[in-house]
Amino acid sequence: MSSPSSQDVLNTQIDFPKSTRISYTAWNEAIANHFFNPSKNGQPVYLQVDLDAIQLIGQQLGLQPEEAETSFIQAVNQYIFATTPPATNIIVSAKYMTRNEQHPEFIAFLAFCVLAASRMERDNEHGVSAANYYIRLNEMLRLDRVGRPSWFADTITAWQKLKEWLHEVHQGCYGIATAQPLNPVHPYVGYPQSQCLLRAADRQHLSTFFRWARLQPGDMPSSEWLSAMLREWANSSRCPLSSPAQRRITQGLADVQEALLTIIALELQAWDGSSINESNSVKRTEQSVLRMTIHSAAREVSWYDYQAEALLPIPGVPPLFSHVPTTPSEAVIVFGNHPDAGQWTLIPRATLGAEHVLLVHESQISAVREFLKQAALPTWQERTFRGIPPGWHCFRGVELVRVIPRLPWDSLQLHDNVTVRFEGGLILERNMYMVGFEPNLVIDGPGSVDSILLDQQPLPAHTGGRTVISLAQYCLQPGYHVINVGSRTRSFVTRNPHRPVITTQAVPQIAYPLRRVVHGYFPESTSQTIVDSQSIQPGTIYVSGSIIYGHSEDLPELLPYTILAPDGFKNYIILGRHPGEIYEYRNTLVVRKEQQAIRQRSLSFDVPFEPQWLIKAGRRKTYLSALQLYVQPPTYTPTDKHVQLESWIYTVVRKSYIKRLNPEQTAIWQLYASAGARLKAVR
Amino acid sequence: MMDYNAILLYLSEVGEGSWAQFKRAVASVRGESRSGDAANVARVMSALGHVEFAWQPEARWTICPPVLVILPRRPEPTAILCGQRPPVLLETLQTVAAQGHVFIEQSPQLDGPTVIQLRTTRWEALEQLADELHIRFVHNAAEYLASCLPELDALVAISPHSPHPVVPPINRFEPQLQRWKEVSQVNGDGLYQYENFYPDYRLFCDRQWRIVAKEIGIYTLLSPKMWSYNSEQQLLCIPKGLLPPVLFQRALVLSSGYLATFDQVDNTWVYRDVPSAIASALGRKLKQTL
Repeated sequence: MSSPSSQDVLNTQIDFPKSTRISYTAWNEAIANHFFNPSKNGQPVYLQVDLDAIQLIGQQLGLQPEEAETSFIQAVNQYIFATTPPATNIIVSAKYMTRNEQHPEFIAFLAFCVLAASRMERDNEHGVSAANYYIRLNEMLRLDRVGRPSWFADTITAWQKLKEWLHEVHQGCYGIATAQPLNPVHPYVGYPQSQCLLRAADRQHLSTFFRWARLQPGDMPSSEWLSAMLREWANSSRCPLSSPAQRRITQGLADVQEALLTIIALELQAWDGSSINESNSVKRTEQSVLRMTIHSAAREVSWYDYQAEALLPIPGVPPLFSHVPTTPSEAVIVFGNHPDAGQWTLIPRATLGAEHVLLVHESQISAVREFLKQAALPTWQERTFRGIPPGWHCFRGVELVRVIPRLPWDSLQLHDNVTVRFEGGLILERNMYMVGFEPNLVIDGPGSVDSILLDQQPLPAHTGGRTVISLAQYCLQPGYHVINVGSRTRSFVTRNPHRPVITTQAVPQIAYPLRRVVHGYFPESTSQTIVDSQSIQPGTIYVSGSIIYGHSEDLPELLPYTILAPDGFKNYIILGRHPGEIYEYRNTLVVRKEQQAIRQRSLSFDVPFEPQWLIKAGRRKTYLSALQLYVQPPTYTPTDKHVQLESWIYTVVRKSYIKRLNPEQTAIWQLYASAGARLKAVR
Repeated sequence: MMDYNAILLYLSEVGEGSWAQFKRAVASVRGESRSGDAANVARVMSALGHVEFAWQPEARWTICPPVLVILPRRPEPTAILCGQRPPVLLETLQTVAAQGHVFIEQSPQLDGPTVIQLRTTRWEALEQLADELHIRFVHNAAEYLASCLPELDALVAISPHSPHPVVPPINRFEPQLQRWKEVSQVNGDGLYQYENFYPDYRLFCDRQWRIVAKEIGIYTLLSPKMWSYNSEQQLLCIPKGLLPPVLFQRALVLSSGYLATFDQVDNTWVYRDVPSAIASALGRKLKQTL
């Protein structure tokens, strides 16, 4: 721990403006919950604290917007200067952070550091220099000095521990850390600055960039390509980013640009294809994708909308082809493998090494043919099918293997001579995999990649063609992992399954509903369906898994049990385990002669319950035997279906049986007798 | 080879999700298995009572809560574990079962997850075990299911009408040959398969189209002598390609805990330990005479 310098003069007579007093601990808890929570599972997470964020969190603590920032600064100051040297408590909490801490104590302090960085945003005069950062920080600390407080160097430990807490303790469930030093000379400033390089609103607009760049979820473009595209987009008139963000992309220092690219790569790996709509709310717009099926034998194509995980047939020609293309880019449509809709689905850009189908308008047909001769394997063929829109030509078996720069067709412009992607893996959340079932790293293309690293450990190199590396082979520990493939970086999180046992709900989520009718049940739907009812309706049962949900009077009857018993007895009684489950048969054809021969024959009884005991009454003796080797004990709960309770009780309490039972069965019979005696006493 | 235990572990962890998510998960653990297409895995998981799938109003799945299901008409108390299988439950099960003198038998299946069967000599031991695991304990699941499942005519009657499809079919079921034939156009009455991301089968009968479950369509066209039952050995044999609707399969699976095994010699699926009451109830409902 650094000792305080003489310049670290605390104005002990601070006259804070009056504000509602909220403790440091309360702020720490509220900030941690706000920024690091299960909704950030596997996503890049930013401790982006600015005035707006503090006011929002303050509201949760019961503060008015105008008093939140003051209250926060006051709470942090009092905490920092509660120890000598200052902030010892915070640095100790970081250095000795325990793995079972709910929220580390230093989070509010780091938020305080980021708040100082966010104040630089508005400061056009001083810019984003380190000196300017300390002006803001010292103002907030009420220190009458310039430059960095000496104890501030230790804050790097807290940033590193935050990353450890997110990645190792919580295995990415509260998000993936994004704080980075930015500038090796001023890492103390770089960490907080990295959290506010892009505001939340700017980050939301990144989906617009991804779509503009014709990227697809899961793409891993090289940083050079991504950087070039980002600059082009930021310079375009339609770029929706804020001015500071645009400036950083186009004119920022190399360190800042590198940090921005890291953040954008993280956002790209977490992107699921969503985009923001006009009201700035995030919305999935990947609801409808054009898909084509080629019926080779019939030389015909049929068209579908892939929507809500189903194919909806489109009669005739899709609207996409209803007008003549006005630009070359509009005249080449690429169909490929969509992550969900499969082949052949409209995709924004062809992928190196993958098979595609192209629909090309006649205005571009010659140029495309020439391009394919240069850039594709000679597997492509022009084909005619019914259902292809008039004026369009179909190319099948198109596999691009060479990058040709500056093409007029955006959909055929490849990123690089190498494509890298993850394939497969058991995905628990976006970018989060189940341990032991990590994805394969697939590298395609003629270019070679020598440096492939997994958590800094070398993996086999890519020397052209296709390389598939099964990451599951590397027995990864749960937690955060980084893959570097040349200039591409991708991180992902693995974790063990830890879900607790699901308790049986009152109403199942998916079930097969059946309506009770006079002679059985009638289906209410063709198969299992999503149950939207809050309670089980009388007259309806729901089959879900191995359970049937329903009111007892609606539940099905058991299938009859067939019992065979020797003929020749006067009376037969069969008992079930539920009081009231009794079946009685009086044999009216008993003859005294030839008893032995008669008892060779069998009588058959169908009983509507699970039978346990058989009682056979002859002329003088009554025999009790078990119908199962392992007889079930009684339930003590009378059945509401077979209401011969009196007979059941009378039968089980009677003592004059000749028992043909083993010791275990005898013990169980005693339980029946006790149950009968108890029920008799109650009645 | 398809890793069914991995898929059940994964579904137990995730709890519920979309059909696309299920398909991706199946593709990840499929290996080179031919039987590992998502629809087949869904059938297996549903027949075993582990997972429920819905196709309408959207294609989704949900894991079933774990349940100890008593096998019907057994000489000794025997149960199987159905539904969710989180690691924490399996660990606790090992400990608690050992204390309660319940024997756990784990039997791998070729085309399904391992069957976890519990045997003991006292009925109350199984009930206590379920109590200690905080899971449901269900008696006679197979029988109740067989008892309440509807008749084939009712299943067809509830199947929705559909307009004449605007795209060509891809397969047609040939009832005489009991197999599917690739087609590219509708050719008279029959059961047709259409391309989609969930099973999409249409029955064309009496100038009417209906969207039906594959098995319901097949059984509508079958002769009534396709099933055979050996009452002594309690074996129910069903020809290849004619497995019954999935809830009927579930009633048969919950009789023994095991999926049907394929008899290469007779080309039939064989369900074992099926009590005659269950076999005849299911056969009668699907218009099959035993």
